[in-house]
Amino acid sequence: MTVALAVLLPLVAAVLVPFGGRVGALGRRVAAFAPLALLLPLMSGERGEWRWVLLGIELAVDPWGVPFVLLTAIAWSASGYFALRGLGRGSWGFWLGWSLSLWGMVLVLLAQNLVTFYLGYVAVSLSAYLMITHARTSAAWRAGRIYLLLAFAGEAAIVSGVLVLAGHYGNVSLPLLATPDFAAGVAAARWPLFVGFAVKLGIVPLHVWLPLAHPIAPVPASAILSGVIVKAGLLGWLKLIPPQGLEAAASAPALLWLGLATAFVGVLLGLTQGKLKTVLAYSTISQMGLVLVAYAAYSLQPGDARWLAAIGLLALHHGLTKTSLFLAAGCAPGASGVRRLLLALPALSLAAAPFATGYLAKGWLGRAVAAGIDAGALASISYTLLTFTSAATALLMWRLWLLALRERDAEAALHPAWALAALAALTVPWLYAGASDLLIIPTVPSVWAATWPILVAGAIVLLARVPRRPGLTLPEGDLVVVLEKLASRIAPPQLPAVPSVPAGARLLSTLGRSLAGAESLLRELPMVGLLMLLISVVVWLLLWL
Amino acid sequence: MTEVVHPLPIVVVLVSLLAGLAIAALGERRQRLRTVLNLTAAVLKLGLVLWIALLVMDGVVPVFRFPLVPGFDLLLRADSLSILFASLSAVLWLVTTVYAIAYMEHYDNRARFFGFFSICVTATMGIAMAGNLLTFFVFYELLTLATWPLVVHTGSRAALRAGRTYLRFTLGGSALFLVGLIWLYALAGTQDFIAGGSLGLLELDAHASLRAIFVLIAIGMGVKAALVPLHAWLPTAMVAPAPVSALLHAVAVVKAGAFGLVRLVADVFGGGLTAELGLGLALAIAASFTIVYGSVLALGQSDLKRRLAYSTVSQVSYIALGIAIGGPIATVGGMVHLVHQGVMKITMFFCAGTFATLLGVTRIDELDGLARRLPWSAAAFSVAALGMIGLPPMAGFVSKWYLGAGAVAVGQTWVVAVLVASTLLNAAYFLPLVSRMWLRPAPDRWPGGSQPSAWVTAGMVVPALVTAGLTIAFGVLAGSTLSPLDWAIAIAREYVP
Repeated sequence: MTVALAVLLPLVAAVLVPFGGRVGALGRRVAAFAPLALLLPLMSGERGEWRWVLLGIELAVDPWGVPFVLLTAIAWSASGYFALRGLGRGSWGFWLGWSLSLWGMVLVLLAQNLVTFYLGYVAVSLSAYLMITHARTSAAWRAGRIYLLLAFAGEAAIVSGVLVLAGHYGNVSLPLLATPDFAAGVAAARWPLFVGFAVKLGIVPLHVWLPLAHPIAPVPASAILSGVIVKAGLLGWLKLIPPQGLEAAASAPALLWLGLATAFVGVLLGLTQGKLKTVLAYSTISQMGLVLVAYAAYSLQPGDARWLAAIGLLALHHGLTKTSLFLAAGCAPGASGVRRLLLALPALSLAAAPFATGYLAKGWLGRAVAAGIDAGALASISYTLLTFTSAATALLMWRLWLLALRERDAEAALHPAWALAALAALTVPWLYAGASDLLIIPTVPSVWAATWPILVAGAIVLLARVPRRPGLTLPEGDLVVVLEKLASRIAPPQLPAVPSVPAGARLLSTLGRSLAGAESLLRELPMVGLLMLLISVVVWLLLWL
Repeated sequence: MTEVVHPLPIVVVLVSLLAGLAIAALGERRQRLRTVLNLTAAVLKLGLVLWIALLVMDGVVPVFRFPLVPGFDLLLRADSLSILFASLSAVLWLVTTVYAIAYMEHYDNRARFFGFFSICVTATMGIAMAGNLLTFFVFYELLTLATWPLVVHTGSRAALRAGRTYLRFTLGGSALFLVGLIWLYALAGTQDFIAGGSLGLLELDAHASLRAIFVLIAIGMGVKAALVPLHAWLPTAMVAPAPVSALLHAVAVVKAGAFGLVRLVADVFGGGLTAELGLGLALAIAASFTIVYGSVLALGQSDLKRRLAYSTVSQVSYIALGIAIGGPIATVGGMVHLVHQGVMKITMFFCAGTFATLLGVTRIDELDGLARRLPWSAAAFSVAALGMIGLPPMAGFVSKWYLGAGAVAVGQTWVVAVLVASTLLNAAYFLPLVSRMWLRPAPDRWPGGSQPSAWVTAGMVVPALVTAGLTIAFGVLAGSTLSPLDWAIAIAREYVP
């Protein structure tokens, strides 16, 4: 019952929002606060099974999935509260995308079998498009186009992996995949699934859609895209390719380096950006690099549940913090002292300042990596580099701060949702850690270890005088611009512009047209006769085989 | 399963035949009576098919046999595979009849149209119930001939040309089919369809001849099933009125070819012998090529109905692919797609016809903002498009899942690549349409179209909504009893123990 409510409320909202008047208004309210219904299955611990739906739907909260459920319930409903202001009638497309992506996210969170997960993942990926293109500007169309292109590239990889899993085990119960008996199928499906989900997480170089799509959406949608929906990719890794039973140790160092590279590249590219929300999007890329580091460390010692919990904690911390930062971007954060404080605290937390939730999350990440180093599987320099990511994040937050100070439009009111989100970002991870034995008691060395990277960043700021406008500015989406130019050269220019057909498809459509020319020949009578004759000859030849 | 001599199979076939003859005899003027006759026959037929389905579920197989010439029987036999195809065509025929009555409101020669329309049903029912290859062939040819007047109905030069192309291909294919049929009877004697294949039981030592027979008959089926390069007639046949296109693509001609391939592999040769002769892999490769080729060509079409036609070329081959891969899971996927492709594609053609009639929209770049004027039709079209891409929870996803998983289960992992390519291509040529309809601004004025009465509009919109509803229901309720999937699984149990 509680599970059914959590899944069905977003669907109810999706049905209601397209209507006008009071029905639509009711739908929007339901859509905004439906994520809170996720707390019900969390409390009841109930399991939902519907064998007759699709190929069998199974839902429950995983023992390790609690932080993800908490994150979605809190961040998504805070953003929903925020969205009720300003996105009313006339933006039903946005609300439809909102409700359906929430529905998909709930399924992804609670999925206990393959079909349920895939259903949710597809719903999240597709309906996010409606939120990204909400502005209907050419920039929004472009972002949406590139988003869809990469989402479907990811989808191709994911569906291959899913079908391979299905071929081995059918609509398998996901917890079983973490047992050794199922390792063969998981190993076969592993890399397509890894790459497919990496697109959603924005792992370099698959990140190019993210800095375009996340900032262009309306503020609350940016918040959930960056705060929550990216975690669907992480859940994909954890649920579909659990490292238990895999020969994961061999590839773990490579994943770790990829994660660290993503963390630094995200910051470096973010520093060249001139828009608040774009800086935040690049920060998400960087933080997802850290998530990959955590996943790599976990896959070295998959037997140790603490490292799995650490990943959850990291996701919870980042999601809540990023949500509050994005909501801040919609409320003129430079307009007053209170607002500047509400921005600064989560920003510092993201840089893992002592006593903040980032300190807690990164503390666990550091322990996981240290355990890998002790086991001799990782190079010891990786720990140092990991510490430096905090310094890099601090630099990026400084850039954010400078940009935020310029946003002083007094018209924009301080929305309570922002304050709530910031409060949650600063407290909920600590509370969760307290409740599940994950507390890190601050000691002098550990506080110092968290402080010096920020001091380093401060020193760099002072010494290098990071200017208000960076000398080097890169376009949003960096690499994608180069790729677009290349694609536009390949694609024949005389074709009428087909919006939302990606360049690759345009190329294919030219191919299609030339083939169609050849086809008209096929329809001529002599050709048909010849064809049939040819076939008869082939058959006669077959006889002699 | 016990076979029982029963008149039901022949009654089902005759109902439509008599209705067709009566409609043709009534003449052009008696419109109301014609409508009543049309709908009564369609409903009656649906009821009869349900009756047979109930019998089959009780383990009774109704059989009706009479000698055509001594030694050659006309055999109508309703096994569970027959029911799958017969119930699909009975349901869709009823819906299409409603649609056609509304759509053809301003056309001439409607008596002729609906007369042949009913004879087409007769043929399709005969194909569904055929119990041996000879019976199959008879109704298969009846279908060819009865469809031609529908394709050329408008009588325009383009229509006549399309009709000629259609006949060249189908009659050419039939000739090869007939050669194969005679050869087979000469080699192995007359045989009824048997689950698991009748030829496999004979243990003939004539592999070369068997291969040749298979290829000949498969070409006969492949022409109608639009296997590349035998597909070229299908896109030109688009000049037919929308209800005809809808039927051609969903139930009648194309599906009859695909159903024939299923019978050929499953009931005549049997999965084991097909694989032993190396024909399974060959058919799988041909189907895979068709799937990708049809989709690539669909991308290049700017006319809506032509794009849908090439999409059919691609999608129908899923059926052949499933049956060619073999193994229980992929067989289920192929058989269930017989139904799933039908409901999805018929929805799209209904909508395309509605767009053209009401707004004059026939080209893809004219679709912008269409959802503002026709939200329900646009919604139905979008549901079907998502299903075609194979996204859950639509029906197309269930087919894709079983095909892909089935291929992996028998070690043919390369099929997954084909399915993924098809998914991407389908997304590339369907999603832009959906996006245009819903997200783009509407033009100031539409290209044309008429303003028919509310009844006529409803007669065109509601059938599309019904089939779109089925597209969702067949996916969402796939796991429940009596879903097409459930039925296909039951059939596959008979074929692949």
